[in-house]
Amino acid sequence: MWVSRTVWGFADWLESKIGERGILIAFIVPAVAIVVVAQFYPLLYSFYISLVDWTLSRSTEPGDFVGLANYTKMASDSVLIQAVGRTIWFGLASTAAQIVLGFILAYLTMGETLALRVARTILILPMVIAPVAVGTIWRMMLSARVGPVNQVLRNLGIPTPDWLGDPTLAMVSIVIIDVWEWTPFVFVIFAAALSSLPSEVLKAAEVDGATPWQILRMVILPMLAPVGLLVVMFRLLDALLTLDIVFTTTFGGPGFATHTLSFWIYQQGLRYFNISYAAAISWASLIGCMLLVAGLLVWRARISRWQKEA
Amino acid sequence: MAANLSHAATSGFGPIGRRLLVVGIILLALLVTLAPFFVLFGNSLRPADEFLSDKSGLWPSQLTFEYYAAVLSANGTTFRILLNSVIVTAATTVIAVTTGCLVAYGLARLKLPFRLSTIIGLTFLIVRFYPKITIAIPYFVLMRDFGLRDTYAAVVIAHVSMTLPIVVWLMLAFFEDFPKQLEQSAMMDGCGILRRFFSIVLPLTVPAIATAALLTAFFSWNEFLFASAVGPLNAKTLPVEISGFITDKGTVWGPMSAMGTVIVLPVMVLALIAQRYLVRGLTAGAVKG
Amino acid sequence: MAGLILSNVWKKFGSVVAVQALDLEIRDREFVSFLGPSGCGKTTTLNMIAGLETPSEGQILMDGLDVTKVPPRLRNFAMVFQGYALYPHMTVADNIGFALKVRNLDKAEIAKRVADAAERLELKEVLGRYPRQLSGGQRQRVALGRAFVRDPHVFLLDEPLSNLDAVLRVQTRVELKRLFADLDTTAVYVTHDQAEAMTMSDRIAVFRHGVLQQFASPLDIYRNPANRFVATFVGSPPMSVVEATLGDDNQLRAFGTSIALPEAVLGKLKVGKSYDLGLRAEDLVLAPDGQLKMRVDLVEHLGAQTIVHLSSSQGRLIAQSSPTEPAKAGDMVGIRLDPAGLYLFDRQSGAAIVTPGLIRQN
Ligand SMILES: Nc1ncnc2c1ncn2[C@@H]1O[C@H](COP(=O)(O)OP(=O)(O)OP(=O)(O)O)[C@@H](O)[C@H]1O
Ligand SMILES: [Mg+2]
Repeated sequence: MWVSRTVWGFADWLESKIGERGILIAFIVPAVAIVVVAQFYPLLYSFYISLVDWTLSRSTEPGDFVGLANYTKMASDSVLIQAVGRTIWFGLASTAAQIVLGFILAYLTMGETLALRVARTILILPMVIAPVAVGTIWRMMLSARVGPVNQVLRNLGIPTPDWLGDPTLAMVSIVIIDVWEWTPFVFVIFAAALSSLPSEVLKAAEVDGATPWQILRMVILPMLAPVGLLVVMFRLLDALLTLDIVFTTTFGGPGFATHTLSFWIYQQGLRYFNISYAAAISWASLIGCMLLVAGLLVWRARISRWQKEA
Repeated sequence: MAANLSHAATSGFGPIGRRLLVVGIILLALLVTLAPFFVLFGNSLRPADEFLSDKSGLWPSQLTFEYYAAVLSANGTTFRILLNSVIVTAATTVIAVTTGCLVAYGLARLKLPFRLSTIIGLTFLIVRFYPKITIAIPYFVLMRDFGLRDTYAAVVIAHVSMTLPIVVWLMLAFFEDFPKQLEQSAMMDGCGILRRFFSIVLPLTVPAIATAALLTAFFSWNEFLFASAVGPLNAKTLPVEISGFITDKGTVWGPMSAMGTVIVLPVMVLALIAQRYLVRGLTAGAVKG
Repeated sequence: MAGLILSNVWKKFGSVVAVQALDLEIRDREFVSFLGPSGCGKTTTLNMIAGLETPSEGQILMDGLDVTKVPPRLRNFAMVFQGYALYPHMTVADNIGFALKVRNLDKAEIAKRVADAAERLELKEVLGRYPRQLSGGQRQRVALGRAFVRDPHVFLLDEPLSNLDAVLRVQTRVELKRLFADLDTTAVYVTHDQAEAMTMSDRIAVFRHGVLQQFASPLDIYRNPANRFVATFVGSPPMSVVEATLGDDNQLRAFGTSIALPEAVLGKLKVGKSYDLGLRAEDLVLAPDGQLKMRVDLVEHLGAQTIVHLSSSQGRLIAQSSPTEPAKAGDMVGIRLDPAGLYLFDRQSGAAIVTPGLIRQN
């Protein structure tokens, strides 16, 4: 009793001293401080690093100002140029596959029976576990000789490729793994979006004479499009920056076959300690990502005009 | 609605054939989803010599618990790493949820000029949208300068700063919808702002807090990039350790699978138990209602 | 245009029986209302007619054809939903034209019909807007427009006015009545507002707990209700019901007084038996020489009408008084009751035994 009286007494005293606003501002400060120190300061600092000459293995302090030299260097980095192309290809392929599969699964598992609810819960699992664990698991799954996938194929009499060891197939394998891991994200969003569609509107379409296919195409899909674009944005962004899976399955190999953008930045920065060059590449990709986000948001605003009140 | 849609879906085709097709697709998806977990659990129990054969079958013929014994033995290095993971995750969750709730409430209730509340909120959101790799390196330099390299603090601060946006946006949506009249009536009863927040608002916010805590804990438990950048040895977490299996020790499938299971299983179990909160957290913002 | 027959239709949701053993015949070009309290199965019945729900049992015939299992899109019925159900992502014009578009009508024809409907419903200015950007009344008219551009066999309307404010509701009610007079198509109109049902319908079907209570013309429903539920549900202010006993002298004892009954109805009643006596406010007039003496509890001035709540040790009544000589709470007043306006119900089953309609017939 006296404890609570003291505590609230202190609270009232504090409020009388600094006022309601003061207290609310005090609420804001810690989180803002953390984000500024741990995110925005390093963000700006990395831009600074990208403008100087700094190799951490040679010097513990930043070197001379070199202008955009680190940026122009990228043009002649053939590993980087290939990595960018590969990453874009990867992002588009895996996002497209995830959107299609995620929507189909969400559409087919609609309903409130126990079996469907259990199925929906299970289908979410791959996205909640650690990406490095995903990589680890799939490294075993796709192992050429003793991996379960090839064991099954062998028993079916189908040729058994070296999924992660073959230079052309390795990237495809990474797409498969990414699709396995992230289709659940698309699925969970679409499942929620589908179940929040107004049921009367769908009934109205039936009474209006639309076939199931017309309802899907002319009513359901357009109503989901704004959410769909958000999902595309999240998935594309994450896919373009995929690191963990590459790290734990192929480690960029064989050769440079699965060097993605993020993997190359990681190698440059945290392995070779060319932190200026790594910072320059990451700032370039940041700008690319922001342009992508802006473009997708503008597109979304255009197709979701109907969501606005007058 | 579901009944209505499935009606729409079945009316075009032969209902039975169509239903079989749907059930088949769902079962296939479940199989593809679960098979890798099955393989992981199987390999974590498989005796070492069985790995070499390509005819060893998908589930081990004999079970061994030696890998778990190694991972979980109290004086082994792996146990230390497991402990690190638990500490980092717990600290991150507590700090992120606490500071996140406070800032969200502050932003929701403060009447700042120039729509500053919205701007701060949006600024937080930006964290979600730039490549994390951009700041991994300067963050590493920063922690080195602070003398925090390879400490829990370095990892925890990184995780908190990355999860705060999620927490803030979840809680902000919640506080903005919170019935104003409830607080107004508490105000009439003579409650100051702190008392209103702690004894009226927070207790009613528990579901949202649970959602935020769940997402934060999962993120921190799973995070690899920053943990590996600033916590290479003393503050090493499980994801960092498991990534090392490939580069340093060759493929040691048994111990690797046991460790993988230790990383994966708690999250799976929690996800299954708290499925409702998880889904709400994942879909918040994207889908209304 | 079409007639509808529902024959022994049941609908169960798990253990909930939403509609029970429903037999209903709706004639071609008839305007029928479904009236009843919330949850009585009106929407469920309408959905079964539309094909949105399949009956658990029984058949639905349209012009003699069994359509029980025919999907909605092949029935060619038009429906106005309780919550409008406009397509949020389509403009008003596209909303109204959607049913025509999925039938592959050509663009010019669609545009012409949409323009016609918009003209009639005063929606021309908002054709390019989205539903979110409309007022409640406009959304309402779009929902109607979507039904009226079509040439359906049957119109189904599920509480189309329930989301409007009182003024707009009365106004739209009148407009609707005019529209349907022109259309001359079969229509089923769901409502729990008795004023709507009474003013618009050729016949009213009254539901309760999934059971059809009565299906008759508005006047019959009012003056010749099938049972106590129908009698008390219809009419405003609600009918007062008190216990009454038939004495040896063939007079009804209630409120400590005796009421003489018309000869013709005595045959239906048993001496010494108790009945529920129902009295409508308009048949109870305050008059100093009235045979009933009661105390005024509460007076409600509604403008055109003044409602007086009365009580005595024997029970309560709701009566009407003239606005010019209002009673005050606490007054003792006399009430004259018109024996031709009384209702008698079986106390157990609630079935009507004597009604004003019956009295007049004899
Ligand atoms: N899909 C369903 N699942 C379970 N019960 C249902 C379902 N639809 C309706 N019911 C039940 O059936 C009964 C009748 O519902 P219905 O919607 O037909 O009522 P209503 O007369 O239209 O009521 P209201 O005036 O409130 O719209 C209710 O008890 C309702 O709870
Ligand atoms: Mg209804």
